[in-house]
Amino acid sequence: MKDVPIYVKIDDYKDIVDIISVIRSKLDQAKSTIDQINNLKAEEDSEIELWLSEIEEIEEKVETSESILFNN
Amino acid sequence: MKKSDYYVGIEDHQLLRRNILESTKGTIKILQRIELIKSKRSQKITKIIELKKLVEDINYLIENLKKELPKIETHFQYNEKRKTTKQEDKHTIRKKPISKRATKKNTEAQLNIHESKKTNLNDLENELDDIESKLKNLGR
Repeated sequence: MKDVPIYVKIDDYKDIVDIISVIRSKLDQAKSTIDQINNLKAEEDSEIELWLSEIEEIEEKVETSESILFNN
Repeated sequence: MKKSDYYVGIEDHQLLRRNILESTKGTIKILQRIELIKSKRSQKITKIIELKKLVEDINYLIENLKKELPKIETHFQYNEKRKTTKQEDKHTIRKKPISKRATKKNTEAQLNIHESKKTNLNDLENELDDIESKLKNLGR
């Protein structure tokens, strides 16, 4: 029974081909959407890196200001 | 006697002033970046929702595909059925009414009107378990 081939009507076969075609198109769209999500995530990560470096710059300026104020 | 006020001299007050102004500028830049990130996150969420809809559509299409194929029992299922008292046909072929025949146009139209299932983690887990057991049956 395992190796018995199955047959489908040609009309049903055409339907199957159509459905698969729509599935392929949806899969392509999904891949493109994932790429866009990845890009947005990368942009977000690089923005957060910039936050960190800017906070560190502010920290340096505050330290310099402290040394000016408290060393007098 | 009048109490005298004390003062602290600040040397290099220009540098101090500059530091304070530049620190303020830095904080404003960070606030601007925060707004930018909020906008990017909102775009990301929109894309994630879009992706979810696409994956639900793909899931629905695969279910439709399964319906288009004839239902044939595996060897294991056939043996299991023989053990039960209910007797069914060995090869059950689902006949699809011609009026509901799937065409590319119909399938895409159906996608627009079908409501996406409310998926929660438990339901997905149960579906996965079901598919795993069907895959195991195919393997026997």
